Amino acid sequence: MKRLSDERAKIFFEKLTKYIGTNAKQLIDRPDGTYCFRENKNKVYYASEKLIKLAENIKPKDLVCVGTCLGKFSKTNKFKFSITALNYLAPYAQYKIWVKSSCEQQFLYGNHISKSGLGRITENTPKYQGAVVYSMSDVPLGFGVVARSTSDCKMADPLATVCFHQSDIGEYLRSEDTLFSTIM
Amino acid sequence: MGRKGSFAERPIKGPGPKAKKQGPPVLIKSFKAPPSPKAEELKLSHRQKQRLVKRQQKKLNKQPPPSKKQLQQKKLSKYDSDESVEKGSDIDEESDNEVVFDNDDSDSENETEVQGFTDDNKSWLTPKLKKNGRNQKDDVEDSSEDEGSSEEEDGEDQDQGSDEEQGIDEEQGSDEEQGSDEEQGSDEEMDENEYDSDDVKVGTLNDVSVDEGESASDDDGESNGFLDKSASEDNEDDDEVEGSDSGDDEEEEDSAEDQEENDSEDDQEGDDSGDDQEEDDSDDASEKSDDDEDLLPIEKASKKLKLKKETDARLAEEELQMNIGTSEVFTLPDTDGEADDKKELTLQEIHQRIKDVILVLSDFKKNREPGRTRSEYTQLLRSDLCRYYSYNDFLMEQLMNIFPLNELIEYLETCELPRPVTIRTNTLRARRGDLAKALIARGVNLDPLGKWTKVGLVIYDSAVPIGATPEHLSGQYMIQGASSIAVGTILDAQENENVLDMCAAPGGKTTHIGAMMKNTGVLFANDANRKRVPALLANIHRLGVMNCIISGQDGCTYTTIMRGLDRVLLDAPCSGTGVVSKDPSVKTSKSEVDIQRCYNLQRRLLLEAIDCVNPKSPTGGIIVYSTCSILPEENEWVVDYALKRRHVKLVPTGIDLGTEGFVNYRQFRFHPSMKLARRFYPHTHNMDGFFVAKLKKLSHIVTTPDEEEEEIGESETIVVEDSGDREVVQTKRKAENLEATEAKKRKREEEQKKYVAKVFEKPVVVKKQVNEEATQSKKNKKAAAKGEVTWAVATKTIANVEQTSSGKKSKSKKQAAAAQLSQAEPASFDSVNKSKYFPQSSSSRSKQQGTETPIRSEAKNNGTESSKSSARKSLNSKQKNGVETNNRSVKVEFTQIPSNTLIDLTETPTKSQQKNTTKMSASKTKIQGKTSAKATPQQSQQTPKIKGSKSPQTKQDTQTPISSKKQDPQTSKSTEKQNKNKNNKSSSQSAASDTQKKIKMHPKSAIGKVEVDSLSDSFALKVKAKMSKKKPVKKIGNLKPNKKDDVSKKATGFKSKMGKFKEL
Repeated sequence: MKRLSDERAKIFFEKLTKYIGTNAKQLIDRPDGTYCFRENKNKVYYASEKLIKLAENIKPKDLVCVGTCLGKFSKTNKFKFSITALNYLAPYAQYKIWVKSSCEQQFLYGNHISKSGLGRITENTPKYQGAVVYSMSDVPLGFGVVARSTSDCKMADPLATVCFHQSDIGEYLRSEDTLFSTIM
Repeated sequence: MGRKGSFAERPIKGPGPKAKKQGPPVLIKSFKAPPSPKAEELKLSHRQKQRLVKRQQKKLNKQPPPSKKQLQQKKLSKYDSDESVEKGSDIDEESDNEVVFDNDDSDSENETEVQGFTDDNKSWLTPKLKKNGRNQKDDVEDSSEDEGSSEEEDGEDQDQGSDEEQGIDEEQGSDEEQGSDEEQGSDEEMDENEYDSDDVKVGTLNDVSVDEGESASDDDGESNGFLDKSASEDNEDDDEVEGSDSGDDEEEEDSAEDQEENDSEDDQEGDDSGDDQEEDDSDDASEKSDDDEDLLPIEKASKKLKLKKETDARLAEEELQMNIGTSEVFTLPDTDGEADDKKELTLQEIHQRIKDVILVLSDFKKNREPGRTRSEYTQLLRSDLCRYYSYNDFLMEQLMNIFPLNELIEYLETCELPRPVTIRTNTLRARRGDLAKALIARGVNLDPLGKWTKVGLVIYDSAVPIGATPEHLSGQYMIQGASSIAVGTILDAQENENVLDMCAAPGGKTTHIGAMMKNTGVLFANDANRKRVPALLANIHRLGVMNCIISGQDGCTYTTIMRGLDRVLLDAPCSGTGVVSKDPSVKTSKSEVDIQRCYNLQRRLLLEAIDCVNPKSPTGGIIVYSTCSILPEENEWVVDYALKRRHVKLVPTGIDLGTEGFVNYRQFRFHPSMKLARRFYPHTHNMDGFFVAKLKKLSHIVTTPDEEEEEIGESETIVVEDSGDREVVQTKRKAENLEATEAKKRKREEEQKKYVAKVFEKPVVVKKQVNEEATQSKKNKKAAAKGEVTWAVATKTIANVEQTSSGKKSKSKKQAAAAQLSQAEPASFDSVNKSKYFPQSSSSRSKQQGTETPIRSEAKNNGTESSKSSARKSLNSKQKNGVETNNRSVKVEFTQIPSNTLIDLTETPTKSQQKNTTKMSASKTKIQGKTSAKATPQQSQQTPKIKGSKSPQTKQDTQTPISSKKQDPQTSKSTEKQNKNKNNKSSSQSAASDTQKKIKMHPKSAIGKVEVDSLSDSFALKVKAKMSKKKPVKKIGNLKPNKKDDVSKKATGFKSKMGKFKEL
């Protein structure tokens, strides 16, 4: 467990703000204690200071996870959110996409969202903006990158992709074993 | 249902067509011709005689049953069209039409016949009316019954006789329906007995054959009792009416198993049947006549329908059971005689045999075959059960010990079936009502689980896979067994607590705890099995538990990480005998060794779990122990073991579910409060077999059972044995089971050696010493301010060390070795102390003071540590071993010693003593190192050489750096401060006595020979200053300042980013 280096912190927060924008501040200034980001074996964890202190008792070899794992740095030093970050991305998301129930299952199997499956989308979503995907009953399903801006979406043909799939909660089922395999 | 409809329709349909049919009353007269003579006969003779005649006729007719039907129909057609319709056609439509007809007919008949009777005796009018009506009915019924029943013949059989009697009783009650039912009952019996009578006829010459026939019939009755309600009712009736007869009946079953006994009984039966026969006849007549009189025609028709159906069913059934019965007759004697004949038997036969043996065992005195022991029966039963349910012998034996026989079968049967799927609502993500709605919308059929839980749902069936719905993936619920939900509920974690789940994977209970804590406090999840940890991780993240620390450590060493927790859940790894329906391989794969492994591990884990808990927690101090096994060895015994070794008590689980834990189980006598523990069974609660015990920790006191203490002086292995077999020894069956227990002992020895001796026995002694020392040190604290008094303290503590070490010398070889080491230490101390008696040299005195201070501080630390240990919170407990960095003062090292003894229970006391001593010596040498390092660099270079020259200490010296590496650099501030204060005191004292600031070294001296001049004020201050400087850097610097840095960086990063975004 170590602090993020400056470089990595920059990369990480850039990515974070892509999804939740200024709400990232709320992850740092929390009323219920100080929370911090820690890096362990290229994975980034978000947990309260208290938790991290307590976790320092555990041998690094035995420590598996503290708080919530947000994602990991790839070999090329890019940060990738894992689906577990949804716990924090969903409540603070700025741009949202709702998928129709017919398309829900498709998305949960790892497919992109086509125009036909698009239920709603936040106004003025720019292109390539990170967005959190919800079902029509407001259950967060995952997140992705908006392929077309809101205005383009209206014009797009039904089969055109409006949101690139990045991660979805189906991964809990599909890849439970590989989801955290790098941690172990 | 059909009846009701017909009732309603009757008045509507009735009059028209039937009036027409009523038209030819002439027919009635002609029809009446045949019955009227019968009536006359009745007048002439007793009705019983009449029936005798009938029955004789039937006897003649009975043997070719198919022809009878034809005869019936012919007769009917002869008599009357109405009657024929009634009898021949049981179809509803016709019966509707018949209704009115029948009424008319019966009326007319009754009138005529009644008159006949009234002439004789008016007082008997009403019953006779019935009886007359009955005559007509008899014709009908007899004809219908002809196929199966010959009432007279049946009289030979007891069962029927009794039934008939009861028929009378109910008749007197004059309840139509009952009467009809009884009638049917009797008819059924007759049908059954038809075959009996045949057999009897065939076999009357040969007693044995008669026996067979009767026994077969009885067995039929019995087997009916298992399968068919009506038949069982019959049997019950027998019991009610004739107690003796019922007894006979049971014996007859025995006769099926052992034929030879029964001759005498048969005679009795013959007598009984003779008596019954007469009664039967009269009963039948009266019964039926009554019924017919009172019944509506529709009812009659329906009754006939019923009769026919039942007779058909009966026949079919009987055929089946004849087959079974015959086979039974053949196999049963074999089974009792030779248990080896199994190979030929089919499963069905085995099943039957199981039933029979259980029946024998249920009343063994009565049903046993003389000369056979109970064990023979149980042996047979066990082998049969093993075969039938495919268990291995060991597990079946265990189960037979746990359950009474009838319950055992129930249990085994239920284990074959899957338990209902249950889910737990994740209250972090959804409410149960909302979730239920969402799932119902997906086509899931569900219900709330029970009153004891507010989060459980039972799923009966679902159109979609329940594990792949978006609700599941988004963490709104968790698929979890009902018993697991119960365990989580029993733990009842509160908000803002520190809770540990020791064996967490795959996270069902862990996330339950997390949900109960509402993401406050801290949740520790641990699982030693790394392969299962990914599932745990995924579930914890999926269900949105954010306050969790997941570790993959061995649970048996968890106290090295964390203590002072509020609650601990130990869902121990177990043999899984309670979840056979989930994993049938358990049935065959488990052996005694596996169970032993399990409970040894469980004991260790439970003690560890108890050690982790803070007894003074305002809200908690709770340990919940659960297994998915139902074997008492893994449950009650383990809990009992913990109760005897730790200061804990059982508390009620808090939910109204489950059966009580065993207090007495075979040779075991558990703690009486064990009934507060709860067991869940599949057959009684329809959930997985589970055991839950809720413990409350009262204090840190560690106790050892008396027997162990007595034999502590003996060798290590013996102690181990006793610890394992304590309970066994308590029971007074030593002589018999000595061999078995010894075999067990040997096994247990092998398994427990590793930890029992180390973990459980010896720390006790250490603790006491620690306490003694602590008390002593407390007493002497005040006096310790003066230098000379501290001498005494030092010598005392050393003497203590000596005593303890020498006292244990004899225990074992290891210990002896350790004791030697520890003796070696005091020897060195002695040599140091000797210098006390030669106070001429100021240097030696100063040296003594140098050694003295650490000892004193150690003693004090012991006291402070032991007093603190209970109140210490988890944060403070982080410092598992005191700080030992080269720059720190000597005193800090000594904080390790008590903390080690407290925390590292795995160490033997001698070892810990050894540690003490080694550390003391190490501290000495370190004093050398440090002080010398400060005084002159050259000297410091020399010191290692000196160390290297000494044989006993060199080892210890080499040890200490290793240990120092392991130790956490962070210590609790409080202890450090205390130590510092002491340090200052001592140093100031020494400074007062000696003003020399140099440290002199005498390389040739025998022991340490480094004579440390007492530290001056300035040096102490330096040390202090260093420590105070380092503290914030090392300790707080890690967390807080960095935090701030983080925050500031993040904030700045944000601003810049925000700025960028704005620009964009």
